[in-house]
Amino acid sequence: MYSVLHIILFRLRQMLKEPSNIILLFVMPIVFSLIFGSFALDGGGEPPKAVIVAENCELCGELSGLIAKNPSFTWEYQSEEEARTLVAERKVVAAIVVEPQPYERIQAGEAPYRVIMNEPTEDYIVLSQFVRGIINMVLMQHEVVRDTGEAGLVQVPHSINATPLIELQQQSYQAYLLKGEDQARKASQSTRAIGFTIMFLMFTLSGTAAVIYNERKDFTWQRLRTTAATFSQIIWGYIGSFWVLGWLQFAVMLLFIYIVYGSTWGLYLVPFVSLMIFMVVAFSMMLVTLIKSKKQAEALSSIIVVSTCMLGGVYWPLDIVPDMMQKIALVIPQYWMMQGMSDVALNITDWSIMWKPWLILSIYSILCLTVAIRKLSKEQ
Amino acid sequence: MLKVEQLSKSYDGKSIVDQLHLHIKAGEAYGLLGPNGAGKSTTIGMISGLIKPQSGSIMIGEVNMLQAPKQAQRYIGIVPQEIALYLKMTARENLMFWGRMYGLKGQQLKQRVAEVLQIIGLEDRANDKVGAYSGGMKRRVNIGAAILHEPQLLIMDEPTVGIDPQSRNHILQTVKQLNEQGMTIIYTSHYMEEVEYLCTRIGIIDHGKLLAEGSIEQLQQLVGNATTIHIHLEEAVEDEQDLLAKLVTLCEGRSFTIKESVITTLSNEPQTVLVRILPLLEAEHITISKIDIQKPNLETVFLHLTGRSLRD
Repeated sequence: MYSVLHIILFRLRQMLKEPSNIILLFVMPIVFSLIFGSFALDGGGEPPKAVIVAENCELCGELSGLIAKNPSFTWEYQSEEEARTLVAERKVVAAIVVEPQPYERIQAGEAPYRVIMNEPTEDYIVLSQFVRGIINMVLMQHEVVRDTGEAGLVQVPHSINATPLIELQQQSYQAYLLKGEDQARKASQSTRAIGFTIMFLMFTLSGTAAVIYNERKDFTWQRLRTTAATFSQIIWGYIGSFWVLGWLQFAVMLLFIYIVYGSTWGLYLVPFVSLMIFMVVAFSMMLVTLIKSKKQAEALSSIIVVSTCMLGGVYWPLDIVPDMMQKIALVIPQYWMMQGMSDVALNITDWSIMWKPWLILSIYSILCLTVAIRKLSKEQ
Repeated sequence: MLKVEQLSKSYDGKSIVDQLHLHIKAGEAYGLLGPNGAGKSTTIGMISGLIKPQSGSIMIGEVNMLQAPKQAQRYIGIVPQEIALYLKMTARENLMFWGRMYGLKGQQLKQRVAEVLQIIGLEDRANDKVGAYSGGMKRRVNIGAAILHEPQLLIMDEPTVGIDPQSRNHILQTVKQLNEQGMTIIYTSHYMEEVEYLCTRIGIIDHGKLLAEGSIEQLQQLVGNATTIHIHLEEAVEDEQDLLAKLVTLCEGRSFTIKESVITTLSNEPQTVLVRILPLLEAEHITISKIDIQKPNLETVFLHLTGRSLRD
C-alpha cells in the first residue's frame, strides 16, 4: 500500500508540475465548454415536438391534458396512425397514447399511457421520465380516491391541470421532471459542456499514460520492477495517479459548469464519474501498451479520441446524424458516457432506465485493463 | 552469492542465452565480457528478475529468483546501461524516490541518501536537476540509485558508456571501494582495462555461452604467448573478402579480421607473419599507416576465443 500511495503522489506531483499539463487539464476544457455550452444555450429555439393520441372521453381528456402541460415540448393531438408515421419519420420525439378505457387500466394498477418512440434520444429520455412520473402520480392518486369511482378519479387530473405547474413541484413525484424547460435546457448545456470535458479527459489521460511508454524507454519502469514494489503495486500506483488526475480535472469542470450554468448534479454523480474516469484510464493504458513510439502515441490518441468523440455524440447531439452513425455510436464508449452524464444531470435514479451506461462502461473498463495488464506483464 | 545453472532464453526461436552456468562468490568482483549481442544484457535481465528464463535456475544467496523474485531482488542492486532516472528531478529527489521504492522511510531514508550522495561525490550538486548534469554525473547518480538499499550484489551493465575519463575513474574507484567493503559486483563492459582493474574473475560470453572463465592470468594462459598484430591501413580495402582469402592462404589457415581499415590476427611469431603478409599488401598497392604488436591480454584472449574483437 505504501508503494502504491508513493507512486500515486509522485506521479501526480510530476504531472502537475508541467505547465502544459495544466493547460490541457483545466484551461482548454473550460474554454471549449464555455464556447460549446453557449451554443447549446443559444440553440434552444422551439421546444421539440411530441404527439398525444387520446380517445374522446372525459378521463382521456384529463389524462392527455396532464401530459400536454409539460412546456418542454410542443404538443399536437393526432390519430394513432398519423402519430406512428410522424414518429417513424422522426418528426416528433415520441407519441404518448392514452390507452382506451383508462379507468379500467388504472383500477388494475396498469399504466394508462403507452409510448411510441423510434429511438432513445436525449429529448425522449426527458419525456419518458416525465410520463413515468405522471403515471406514478395518477396511480397513487387513484388509491386515495378509489372509493369515489371514475368520477372521483377524473377530478384528480382535472384539479392538477387547473393548478399552476409550480405547485406540482412541491409534491414529491420526481421533482426533476416538473422543473420543465429550464431543467431540460440546463441539462442540455451541462451535458454538452461535460462532453468537452470527456474529450479533454481522454486527451489528458492518453497523453499522461504515455509516461509509461517513456518510463519503459528510459528504463525507469524496469528499475521500478527491481524495487520492493510488486508488479501489481506499480500498476495500481499508475492507475491510481491517472484516476486522481482525471478526477481533479472533472471536479474543476463540474465546479465551472455549476458557476457558469448553475447546473446541479444528481445523486449518482460521484460513482458515475469515478467509473467513467476509470474507463478512460483503462483505455489509455491499453493504448500505451500497443504503441511503439511517442509519436505513434500522439498520433494514435489524437485520431482515436477525436473520431470516437465525433461518433459518440460529444460534439453534437446524435439526433441530427444519420441512422447508421447512430447505430455506430452504440459501440462508442463516449456515447455511453454522455448518456450516463445526461442521466446524472437529470438526477435520474431509476436503475431500470440508467443501467446501460454503467454496465457497458464497466465492461469496456475490464476489457481495456485486461489487455493492458496482460501486455505489460508479458513484457516481464 | 549467485548461482546460475543451465540458464536459457530464446526469442522467436533464436537462442540468446544457452545453458549458462555462473557461480559467483560473496565479495567477488566478476567481469562479464562479450561483444554486442553476446547475451550479456539478457543474462543480467534474468539475474535481476526482469526477464523470465525458459529454463534453468538462479539463486541469489539462499533465495530462488524464479520462485521468490521480490525477496531475491532485495539483495541486488541494478545499474542499467541506460540512465534510469527522472531527468527533471534533482539528484536528491531521485534518490529519495528510489529509496522509498526500496522500502526506506523517514530518517533512515534521509541518512542513506546523504551517505550515497557522498559515495558518488555529488553532495555539492545534489539539488541540481539530473538533466543538467554531464554524462558522467548522471552515471554516478545511476549507480547511487542502485546502492541505496545496500544490496549484497551489485549488477552493473556497462556503467561507463559514453563518459569522460575523469568520471570513468571516479566510477571505477567507487565500485572498487564498494567491492572492498564486501559488496559482490558483476560488471559488464566493452573496456578491457576497466575489467582488468576491477575484477578478480572474468567470464567470456559469446552467442549466449560462457566460453571461458577464470582470473586474468588463467585466461591469458589460454593463448600462451600469442601476440595480437594490428595493421592499420591508410585507406579502406575495396574487396575485403578477397584480401582475407589471400591472407588466409598465405598464412596457412591463420584467422584474420578486417575492420575499420585495420587487419588483425594472432600469432606466436609476429615477425614471421609480417614477413609473409607485407609483400602481399605491397603487391595489392595497400599502404600501411601503422603496425601495433600487443602482448597477450584480455583482448587477445577474446579474439582467440570468439574470433571477434570485443567491440564488434
